[in-house]
Amino acid sequence: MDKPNYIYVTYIRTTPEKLWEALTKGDFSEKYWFGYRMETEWKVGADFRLRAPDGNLDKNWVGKVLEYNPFKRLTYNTFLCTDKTTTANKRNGPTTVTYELEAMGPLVRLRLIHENLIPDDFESDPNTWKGINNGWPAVMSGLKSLLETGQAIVFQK
Amino acid sequence: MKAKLHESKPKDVYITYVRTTPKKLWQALTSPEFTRQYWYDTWQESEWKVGDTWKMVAPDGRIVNSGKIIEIFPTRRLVLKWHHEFQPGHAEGYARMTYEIEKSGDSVKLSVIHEFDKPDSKFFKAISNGWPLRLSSLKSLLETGESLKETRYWPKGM
Repeated sequence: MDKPNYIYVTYIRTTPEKLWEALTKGDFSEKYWFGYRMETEWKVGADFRLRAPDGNLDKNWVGKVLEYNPFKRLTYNTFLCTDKTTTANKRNGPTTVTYELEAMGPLVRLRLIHENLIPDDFESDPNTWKGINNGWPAVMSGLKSLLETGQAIVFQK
Repeated sequence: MKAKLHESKPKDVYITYVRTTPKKLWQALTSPEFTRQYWYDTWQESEWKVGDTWKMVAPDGRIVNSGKIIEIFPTRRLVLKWHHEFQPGHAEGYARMTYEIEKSGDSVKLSVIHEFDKPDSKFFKAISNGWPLRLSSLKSLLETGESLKETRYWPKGM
């Protein structure tokens, strides 16, 4: 598997507008993304950064907005929080994260597509938050809970 | 509890976190009053012991899938082997489905793992692709009291 990718699909009882807001504003991401706030102007070419719960900008999760089509699709590229020099050297470039939204009556289908990954990004131990295959289900589940019940999920660290 | 998964066959893994208890999630996965709400009005028939038969039944009484219980640890783990009873049916071979339930903070982690005798089977791929919607509906049901309407009814004409 040369360039594995990761896909997560979920259906949320909400509107595309509310989901878009939750996906793009730091006030929301902080609630479902392990306390991280995204910071960007959301224009193609703009910087994309993540601010960690301790207030510092994450030094690895740095990238650019590649596509921004409100309520439908957005894409940005980024290295990953857990990248160390050894991991970064194995990459041929940043990964890309895409959210695709499709309105389906009272639901919105959200497809998360994370591409240009390397095998190191996947974690075989299910008892850790490391690895995009462990992290994304938690983030997406917290997002759905937040939009449907008003409360995100408290994860055990 | 951790058990070794079959390493030889490709696996599809679906994970969701639900704000509920392991006991409520187990009930939602196995009892008719719950499965009817998010699994197209179907229910499961089994004595729920290792080696017992397991059937998934459509609203009109037809058997949709049948198989047997391979492992069962209530509120923690369930492994089933099953095949489809409608066409293309037995020709597609068996599937192995595992539910793993673990408490995680104020929520429960549910992992649904599929392994297929015929990994390139279009039929099983279609089944597999149905999981995100069913899991989303199950989560909405347990967290809000309402499943997603699209998953409550048996498809017309099937």
